Amino acid sequence: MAERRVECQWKRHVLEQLKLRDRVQRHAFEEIVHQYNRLLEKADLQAVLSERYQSDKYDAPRPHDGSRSDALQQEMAQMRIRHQEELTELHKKRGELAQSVIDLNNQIQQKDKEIQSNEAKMLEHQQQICSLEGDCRELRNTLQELERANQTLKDEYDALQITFSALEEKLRKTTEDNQELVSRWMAEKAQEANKLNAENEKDTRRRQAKLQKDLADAAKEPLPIDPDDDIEVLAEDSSKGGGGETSPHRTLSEALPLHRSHSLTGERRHTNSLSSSPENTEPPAGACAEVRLPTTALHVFVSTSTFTHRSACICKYFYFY
Amino acid sequence: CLDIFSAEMSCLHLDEDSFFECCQHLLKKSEELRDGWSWETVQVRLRMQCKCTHVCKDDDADEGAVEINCPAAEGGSHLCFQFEFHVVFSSSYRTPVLYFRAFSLGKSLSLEDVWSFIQPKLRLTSQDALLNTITQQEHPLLGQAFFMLHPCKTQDFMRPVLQTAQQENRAVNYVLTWLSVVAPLVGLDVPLEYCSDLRPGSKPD
Amino acid sequence: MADDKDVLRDVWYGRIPACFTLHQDEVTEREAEPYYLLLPRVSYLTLVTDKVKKHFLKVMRAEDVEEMWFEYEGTPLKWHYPIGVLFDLHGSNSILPWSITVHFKNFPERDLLHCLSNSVIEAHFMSSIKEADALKHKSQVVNDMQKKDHKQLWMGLQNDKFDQFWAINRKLMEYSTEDGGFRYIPFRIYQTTGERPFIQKLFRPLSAEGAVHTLGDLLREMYPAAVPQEGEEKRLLVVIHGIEPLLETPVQWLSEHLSHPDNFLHICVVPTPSD
Repeated sequence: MAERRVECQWKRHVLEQLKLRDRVQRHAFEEIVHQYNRLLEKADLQAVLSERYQSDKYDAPRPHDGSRSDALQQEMAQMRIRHQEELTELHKKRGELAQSVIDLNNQIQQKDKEIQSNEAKMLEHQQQICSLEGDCRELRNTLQELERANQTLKDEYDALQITFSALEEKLRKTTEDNQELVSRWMAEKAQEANKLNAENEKDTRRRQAKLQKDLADAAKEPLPIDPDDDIEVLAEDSSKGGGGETSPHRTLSEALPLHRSHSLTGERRHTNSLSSSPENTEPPAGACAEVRLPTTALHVFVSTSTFTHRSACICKYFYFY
Repeated sequence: CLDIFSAEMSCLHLDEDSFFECCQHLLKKSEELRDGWSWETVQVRLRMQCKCTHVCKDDDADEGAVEINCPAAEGGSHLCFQFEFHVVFSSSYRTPVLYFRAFSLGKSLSLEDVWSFIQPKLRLTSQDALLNTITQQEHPLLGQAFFMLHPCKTQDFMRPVLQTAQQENRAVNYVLTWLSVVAPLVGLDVPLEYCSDLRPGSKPD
Repeated sequence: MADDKDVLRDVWYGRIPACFTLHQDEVTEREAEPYYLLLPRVSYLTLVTDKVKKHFLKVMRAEDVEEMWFEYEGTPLKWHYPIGVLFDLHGSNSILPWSITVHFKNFPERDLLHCLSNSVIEAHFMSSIKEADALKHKSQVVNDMQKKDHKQLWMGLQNDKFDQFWAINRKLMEYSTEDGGFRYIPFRIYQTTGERPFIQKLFRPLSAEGAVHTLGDLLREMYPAAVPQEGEEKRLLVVIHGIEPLLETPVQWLSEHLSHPDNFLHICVVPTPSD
């Protein structure tokens, strides 16, 4: 900044000094020198003319003056010729200059017109520029707003996406767990059933075997045939539960497997089924020695899934005895 | 001394100091040969080399002059010309420049007179070419009217010489070489002996 | 910059009012009135004094007329110096108009160069331009110009045509931005005392570190007496084109804008006027 000021200083100094110099050395003398020279020309002409008239006055040729006036006359004639030539030259030049003045004036007018039209165009363009700038600004604002809204939506979307992923993961895991639990439960149930069946079978076989043995034993025993012996044994034996027929019942009771009931939380609860459950869930069948198929389910195990598309899995367990 | 010359060869330009050295060498030779060159100092730092020769020309003879020391004021059919040659260093063109003037009976000679004197000595081509190169100029140190041989072509004719010398690893005295080219144009004689001991045992340029 | 253009114009159109008087020893047939003329500062005496010659020839006999030459207070005026330089050097302390004495006899052979036609002036002018360009551009710009360009420079000066001249001269004022200026500044320092006509040496517009050299720097190196020390009275004026630029003016700018048409910066060192 200081440099510019210093630069301005010395440059301005030069400019001022040049103007001052011109004022003193040129402008003060220009006009006067010009006028002086004009006067000089006129004076020269006058001097020559006056000498000519002088010599004309004394028409008689004087020897000692002759050469001088001759020289003067010659000089005069020469000067006249020279001036005539100069005059014609100047006239011609004046004509040319006048013509060029006209031409230049026309050019100037044309240029002025052009300038005007250019300025008008420029103004128009300027206005256009202003309005376009305004539009531009508005559009830019709108754009900014839209961008902001878009960004907000994006952020929300991202957040939701994250939540979704988390939940999805959770579901997956839960489903996995569920699957695992279900399959485990089923496996266990299957195991249980198998065990039960196996035991039932074993029991049945044992009873059969016992029965056969009893039958065999009974066959061996000579039984007095009493015409008074009736088969009313059944009624008497129901409370006691004795006899061959009741023993399988008892044995069956003994043979009843332990109930295992599962809650949905996976806890196992052993219940002693020897005495309670059959009586809880079924009509007492103790008096009856018949083997019959249960018609109703002891336990209903329902497993459903709400989040996945796995089919509902309903298991019914049947107890055979 | 020879080192200065080889340093000079590395650039095609002359500077004031090497100009001075070259001139000193020339002056030494000039003393030996009694050739009349002297060293002038103008205002302490300014230097140039100058020589004043008296040359006599016989009007009847066609050929050029013989350099003899003859007193200027001798009558008869002899016309004595007094030539003055100056070698000045131009810092603008970085070359030596030759200035000269001639007098006859105390009166300065015009360019035409000088030319008419020189021309028989030269077997050059056109007059125009030379008149374009020799002009009347103000002597830069003395301020007086001299004829000058324009230095703008000096580099053109010096370059091949210097390059060749550099390739051949020869020492060159710039001023001497230059003088040997321009001197004939102005009727100045530069004897061959100047080059004799530029390097002992070597042949002259 | 508009200012720079103004400077160029003011320099070109500078004028000096002069009064030409015939020397009393010249033989005339009748009294010769003095002839007044506004001389262009940037031109040369023999180029602009045709009217002067015609004016005085009117009163003289042909046999008395030899080559015209000029003198001021006994000092022959060297026509090959620009008129402005001659005035600043010799006549700046005189009152205006500058009184020049006209001679037609006894041409001072030792001191003045002959000028028998305009082609001599042209040759001199062109050789100055070439020398200036040798310093500024190693002669590359001027050698690349065609002959018609050289002619245009001369015609521009001869016919006082600013635009015609500068159309070509601007090329001589150019330099590459990495150089920051010309190689060397073409200048000459003139003084009224001393044997030597002028001082001309190599001078760079920028220092090795890139600092801009000013007029003060130039003078301190070339003419220390022109730069007064602290407390000293100013005994010498440093004049270019009739003005005293400030010492802090950069020489590169001076060379571009205050040179003469011959591309040299002519600097006059004159004693301060003692009133």
